[in-house]
Amino acid sequence: MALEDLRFCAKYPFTKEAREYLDFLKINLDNLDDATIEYGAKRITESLGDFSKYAREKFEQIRTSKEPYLMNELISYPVSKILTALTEDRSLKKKFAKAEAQKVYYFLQLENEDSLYNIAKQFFHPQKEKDWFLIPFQEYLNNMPEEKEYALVNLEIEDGRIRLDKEKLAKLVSQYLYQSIVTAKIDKRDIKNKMFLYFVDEIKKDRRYAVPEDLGKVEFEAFPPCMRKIYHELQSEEKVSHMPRFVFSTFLASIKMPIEEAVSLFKNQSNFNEKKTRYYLEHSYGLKSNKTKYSVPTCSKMESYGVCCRDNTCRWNHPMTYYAKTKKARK
Amino acid sequence: MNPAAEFVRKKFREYYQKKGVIAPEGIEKREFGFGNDKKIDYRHLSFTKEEELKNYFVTNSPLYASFSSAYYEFPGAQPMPKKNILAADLIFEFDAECHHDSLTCSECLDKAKHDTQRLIDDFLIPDFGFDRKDIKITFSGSRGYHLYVVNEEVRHLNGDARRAIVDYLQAKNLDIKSIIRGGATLKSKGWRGRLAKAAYEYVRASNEKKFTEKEEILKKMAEGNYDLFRGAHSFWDKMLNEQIIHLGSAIDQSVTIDISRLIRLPSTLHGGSSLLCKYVDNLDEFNPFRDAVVFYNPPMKIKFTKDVSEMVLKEQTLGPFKAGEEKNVPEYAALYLICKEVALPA
Repeated sequence: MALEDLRFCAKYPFTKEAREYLDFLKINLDNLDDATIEYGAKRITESLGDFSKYAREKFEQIRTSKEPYLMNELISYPVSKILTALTEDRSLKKKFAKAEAQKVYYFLQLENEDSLYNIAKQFFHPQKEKDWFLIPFQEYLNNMPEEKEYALVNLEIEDGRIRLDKEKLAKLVSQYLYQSIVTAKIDKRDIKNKMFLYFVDEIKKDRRYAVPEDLGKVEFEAFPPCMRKIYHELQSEEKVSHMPRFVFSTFLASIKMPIEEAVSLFKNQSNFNEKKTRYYLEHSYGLKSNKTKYSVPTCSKMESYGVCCRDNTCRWNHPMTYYAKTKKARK
Repeated sequence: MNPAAEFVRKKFREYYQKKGVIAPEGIEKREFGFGNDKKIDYRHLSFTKEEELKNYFVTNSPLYASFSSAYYEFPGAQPMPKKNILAADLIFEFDAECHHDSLTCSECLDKAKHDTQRLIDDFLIPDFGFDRKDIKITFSGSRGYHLYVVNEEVRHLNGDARRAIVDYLQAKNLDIKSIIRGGATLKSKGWRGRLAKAAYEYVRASNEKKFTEKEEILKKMAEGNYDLFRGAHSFWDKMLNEQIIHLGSAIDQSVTIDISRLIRLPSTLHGGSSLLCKYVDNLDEFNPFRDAVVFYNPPMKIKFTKDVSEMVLKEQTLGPFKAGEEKNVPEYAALYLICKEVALPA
């Protein structure tokens, strides 16, 4: 695909072209790597802040960037749409949808009439008539922007079609995008890649539990049963699956086990690859480019990921609290 | 149940045995509601075919029968979200608010008729582009008319979109300033054109002294120059008021907006009047006090509980009647008066 086509898909990741490109690349959401899902989560958290300059900045970045950045922009869109749907948090959905819509409205206004028309055709049945675009009123009403100037009463309507100028058509397309994000629904049970659920929790993160910053020397004896179990499984040759590996690495990072020591805990695994393991752990430790440190999931989340093995020593709702309290009690 | 209601239900049952009921389109996807004490005592009922619906009426002969404007996957399920809405017809309600001392006031019903016609001729066809054949009108059996737009395109309008249509008919949020600044000519469409034409027509027909150079003023107006009317709020309010569709109370409007509402089922009798809720083909010639009366002529004795002034039913003048008096009246009038709660079977 030509770079300009990819740039188009990065700008408008909700279009048919973008979907077709993702299909062509055989990108399957079930086996995306963690970094990609994380990029999607970041797309959401970015939009929750002040996004008044967001559209313009994004436009510049997309205009000047090369393939890796553009690919990330493209793939992170469906990822972030799924993540927001999974949060089931209407206000978060709206904020994210608003930021995305605002961005696309900005981009579309800079397009020429033909490109705008071609994009609009994917979602509506517009007709061009002189300087106007005519849109069936039903399509308009189901996506009507809230502002007074977009009220039907202030527009020209005849024979079931509403007259829009270029700017208003751009707004309508962006409003369509807004609606599609806000109304998206996904059943958790349909998500095969559990990392999506992890990042949903990250987005919604509740920081009610507090753990002292410095926990001192690592003590295996203070590990909660879940982490102890994963630790023992890793010592056998039997392959440990992704989710337990992941939560275990977030735990190791949180208790500040030196990374060399952490790498060695994985070496008995039959598919052990030192380079990969190190790269992976560095991510969890927040040593990679984005500096994000992944936190350990709460007990209830551990349960939903299927990695909890609660016993009568578990009196807390977070593995890190278990570790900190137990360690302190042993002194 | 009181004897009057029991009597009415017996008569309703006889009617349903003879005439049956007509299943609404997509009967198996509609929710039904029925009432005797109130308009709707119970709802969330569903039927799969016309025969089943008719049997229900013959067995239960409810005084009031309603059905959903919406089509559901599981119309009998509750609570509402479990029904899973698939679509909904677009419906407008015009109720005549009558304060006249007549039980058969044609004047008020004619006003509702006029508004219904104006909605079709001035808005639904020219602005929204609906085909006349997709617009169905029913007489509600009581005080007004229901207008249904039945086509695939409107079925999927969401609640916000329906509210926008109601707002449009009432010119809510209309930016008059932009029109006065020159945003509308006689060729403009929608509300802009409607107001421009109304203002133009007003001046053309006016004899007011301030419009002495009428030709000049009209020429300017045709070009969208309203300098003469800047700040003339009362003028614009007048123009607007004459053009808007008065959909009445918030409750009447909610019929259009709230797609979970139930509305009177055509082909059934109205327990508040004994008149038939029925489709109206020719609105102009329709007279509910003649064309929606379904009962017969044999006389029947009733006792009046309230004074009733002269009335016209089935083109027969009846009354006036005094409270306490017993009279023989045709059966159709007896039922009408009993349903109106001004008389009892004697």
